[in-house]
Order: sequence, then C-alpha cells, then structure tokens
Amino acid sequence: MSFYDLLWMAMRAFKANRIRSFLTTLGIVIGVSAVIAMLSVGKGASEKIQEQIASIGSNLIIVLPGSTTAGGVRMGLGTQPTLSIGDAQAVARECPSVLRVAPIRAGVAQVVYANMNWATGVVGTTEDYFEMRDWKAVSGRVFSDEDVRSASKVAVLGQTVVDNLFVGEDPVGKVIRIKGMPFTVIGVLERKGQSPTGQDQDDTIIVPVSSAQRFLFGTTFPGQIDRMMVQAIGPQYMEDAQEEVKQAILQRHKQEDFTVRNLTQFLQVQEQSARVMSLLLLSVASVSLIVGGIGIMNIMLVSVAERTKEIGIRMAVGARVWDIRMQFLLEAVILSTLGGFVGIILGVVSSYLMSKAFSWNILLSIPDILIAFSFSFFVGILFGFYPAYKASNLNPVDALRYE
Amino acid sequence: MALIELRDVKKSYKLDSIEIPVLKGISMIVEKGEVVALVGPSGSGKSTLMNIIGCLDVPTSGEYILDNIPVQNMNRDQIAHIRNKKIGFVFQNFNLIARLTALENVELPMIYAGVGRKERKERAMELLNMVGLSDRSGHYPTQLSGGQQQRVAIARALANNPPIILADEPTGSLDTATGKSIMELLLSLNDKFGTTLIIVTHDPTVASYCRRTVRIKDGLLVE
Repeated sequence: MSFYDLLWMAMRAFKANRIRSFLTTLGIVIGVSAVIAMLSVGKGASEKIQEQIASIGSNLIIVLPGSTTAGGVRMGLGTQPTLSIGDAQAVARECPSVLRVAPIRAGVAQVVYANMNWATGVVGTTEDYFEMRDWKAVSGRVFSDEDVRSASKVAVLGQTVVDNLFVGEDPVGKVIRIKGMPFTVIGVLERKGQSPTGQDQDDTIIVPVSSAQRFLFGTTFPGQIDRMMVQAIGPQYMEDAQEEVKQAILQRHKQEDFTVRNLTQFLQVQEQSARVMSLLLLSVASVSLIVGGIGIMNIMLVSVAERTKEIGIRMAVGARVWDIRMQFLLEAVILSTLGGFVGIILGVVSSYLMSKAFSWNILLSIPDILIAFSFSFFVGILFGFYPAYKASNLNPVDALRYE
Repeated sequence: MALIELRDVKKSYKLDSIEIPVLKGISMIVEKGEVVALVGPSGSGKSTLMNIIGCLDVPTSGEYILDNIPVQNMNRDQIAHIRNKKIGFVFQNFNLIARLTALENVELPMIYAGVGRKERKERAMELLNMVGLSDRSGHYPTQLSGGQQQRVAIARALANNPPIILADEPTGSLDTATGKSIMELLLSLNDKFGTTLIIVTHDPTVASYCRRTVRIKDGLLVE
C-alpha cells in the first residue's frame, strides 16, 4: 500500500467530517501559535536586557565616596570627597580579581565651538574606560596612556555632543572650549543609545582624568576623583573583586568612607526574572499544545469507534495490521502537522502584531519555529498511536458484526 | 483437487468462563469449481463455519488447509494476505464503505494488494461494467438500491481474482426478483471463471441453485 493511497484515504476521512477535523486542528493551531508567540516575546525581552547590559559594560563594579554630615544633616552618598587616583592605582595593583580600573573625575560644563554652545557631562578618566565600556571611536581615536600622563588637552565626543556643536563638519582636529579651556577633538565615539535608566549615554565628552583635574574641575586634595569603575576578570569573580576592592581601599583610608556596588547586578536580576517569566509563559503554551494533542486523541478514538465496521470491511478485503495502523496514525499526524503549520503562521503574525501594539522587542528564530512544528508532529504520533493501535487490534469478525 | 479441506474443526467461545462449543468437529472437502450451499437453522454454527473458511476467524482445534496452505498456524498479516488474494466476500448487508464511491469500494482490495492506481481504476471500471453498473461508478452506496449495492459488493469480491467467493445470505436483504438476479450473477462467475462458490443461506430456493448442499445442525454436518 503506497503512501499516496494512505494520504488519499486520510483526505477522504477529513472530507467526510470537515467541521470535526477543523475543530480538532484548531486545538493544535492555538497550541503551536501560543508556543511561538511566547518564545518570540520571551527571547525578545531577554535580548533587550542583554543589549542594555552590554551597553553599560560587563562585570562592572562602581566605587563611590561616602557621605558627609554637616551640622547633623547627612548629605548622602558621594558627597564627601574621599577617593583619589592613589586609591585607583592601589586597587589596580593589589586586587587579583580586578582586570581594569578607571578613576573618574566628572562634572557638567558649558562647551563652545564657533557660535554653538552646549552644556554636557564631562568625564575625566583613563584609557581603560573605553575598554571597560566596550566603546570605540567611529572616527579619529580615543586618548592614550600618554595623554593621561601628560594631561593633554584632548577630548573624545559622544554623538549627541557632535550633533549639537557641529553642523555638517568633521569634528576631529577642531578645537572646542570646555569651561573656556581649549581642547582638541581627537575622536568621536560610536552611538550607544539610552542607558537602562533612560539617560542619553551619548551626551558626554571624555577627557584624560589628569586634564579634568588640572583644567576643569580642580581638586580639594591631591588626585581627587568622584568615583571609580572597576571591571572584574569574569562574571564569577564579581563577589571576590568587590571584597578585594573594599579591603584595598579600607587599608588606605582606615575607615569605611566609601561604598562598593555591583553595577550590572540589578540588570542581571531583571534578566533572570524575564527568563523565568518567559519560561512560565512557554510552559502554559506547551500545556495548551498538549491539550490540543489530547483533543486529537479523543477525536481519533471516536473515529475508530465510529468506523469499527469500516475497519472490519478493510480487514476482510485484506488490510494488514500495519495498513490499518498507518491509516489512523497518518490521520492524526496530518491533523496535528496541519495545525502546526497554520499555528506557525498565526504565531508569527501575532508576535509581530504584539511587537507593534505594545512596542515589545520580539525575537523569532527559525530553529524555534522548527522545534514548535516538529513538536506538533510528535504530538500527532504520540496521541494518534493509541487509537491507531486500538483500531488495528480489532478482531475482524467482531468489527464486521458491529453496528 | 481439494481447494478447501477441513479436518475435525472445532470452535468454542468462552462466556463467563463457560466454554460454549459452536462447531463440534467438522470435516469437509470442497473441490475447485464447486458451488456449495451451506444451510442450517439459525444458531447452528453456519456463520462461524463461514468465518473460519473465510479466514476471518481461527478454529479452536483441528486443521484447515486452503489451496494447499495450512492456515491455522499463520500470523495476522499472513492471514490478511490470504483473505486479500484467495477469498472474495459477499455479505447479507453488503458492507460497502459509505463514504467511498462504488468505484472506490471496488478498488479497495486492490489497494491492499499493492496494485497501481491507474491499473486498479481500469480493473474496477471493468468489474463494474461486468455487473452492469458502469454508469454508477461515481455514486455513493446510499445513492444505490439494495440490488445495485450487492452488485458493487460482488465486483469488489472479484477485484483480486480470488478462487473462492464466500457469500453470506447474499439475497437476505433483497426482494425475490432482485435476489434471483444476484444469484444468477454469482452462478455466472462460476461458469465464466470457474470460481468456487460457497453460499450460506437458509432459503431453500437459493440452495436449489447450488449443485451441492451441506447441512449443518448443532455444530455438526448432516450431509
């Protein structure tokens, strides 16, 4: 008995029960489309969060100075200037779990070029800062260790600053004035977009930390910095690095007038909860697919009972066990894979609509779609097998006598 | 040459752990080309005997040799193959598949025999033509009269050119005139192709068409 004959027989059976076949398939359609929609939404959400983590930089720790108390009023974190370049150098030197350290002396300054001006955040730091934040120059270059040591008056601009100061002009090589001091633009950074908290990360100018201290923001004590960024050598060393940094600075300050914080932790927690959420949604969707499979089994069992006489006739004219089994199994598999196919279309369309309606980030991948489709195929085999087995095991005499 | 040989065939059914014997030891031989009427009152076991001859059922004990093949030790698929090739069934209530057309019903045994699509359509048309229904090939069983349905069933029984046709009360659901024409059709097969006919009936008129009559009573033959 050829596959074509089997297929043809299955089609005849569906034709005889159009509405029933349609409703049975609907269960699988809903299941598969739910699985695909949930996969795409879940993966899209965690992709978005991962992008944000990447834009901040990975495995970062921030060290902030402690708070001051002025006449009984506590002023909050970062108000007491306690950190210095020396602390940063000590951390870089003494902590084995630390890969890079970037001291930061920052402030807001008015920037002028020709007849344009703009107020922006100026960050004085070292060349490691660019590495830590995985931030590259799209034109020109970032400054070097040499620039930091000699306190060169060079600046690297973020895209937003370029947009506001330069009109159709290449900023590299131009001289801008920051707080009245001339700085030569040596590079423009690639666009990073919004930070996870909604700030424009490109609205910034980056200069050597020594130049920021000497020409822009000054120091109340030698080598004063506002904070430092520390990068651990790997995600599993974050806690070690935090502890080492704390001990290294504690040894120098003799008191805990600073705070060490994990910068990416909250995002990682967010990512984890997004992952749990999408796993939860996916399992609900999978349950609906299994319910669809049970629907198929139910209908196939009804169909076998209804067609007992037909099975008897087929056996009498020479159908083998395999022929009967394949006939019913194929019917179940066709119903489920047809449902899977329509479900894919519906799932792709609905995740696209969701992304438009709620401006969600979605991520559809071919392997996910194939997995959902083959899942529907196996649901057909799984839930079609028992009815097919039952049909093929009928005794021909009893089946023929059945009314 | 013996086409069908039964040696002391017994069949019993279990009903709540009580053995109910239906066939109590039947031995008979049917030669090739014979026309045999199997008659007996209801409950005598003639349907059971017919099921065993038709390989739809297996004896509890005894031997059954069909066309020199001992059938009793075969597995289900081998028996299905025998049914497909050696036996054509004609039932009292026709037993056509309602959602298949007349032509498709006739094709069915050939599908299971692995005959190609084109060839079996041609053969099915030929057979429908022979039973006088070539203009009804696309009709569904419900659109046909009883006599026409039985003709389709006979065409189906002939599909794989079996040496034996087993007819269980073939005229039982038909009026006298139609029954007569069906009997004439069956007998013509014996004339034309030498097909062995075994006809189960309780109707003496039907039995009178047959050259040999085998009587069964209480599970035993009374020839």
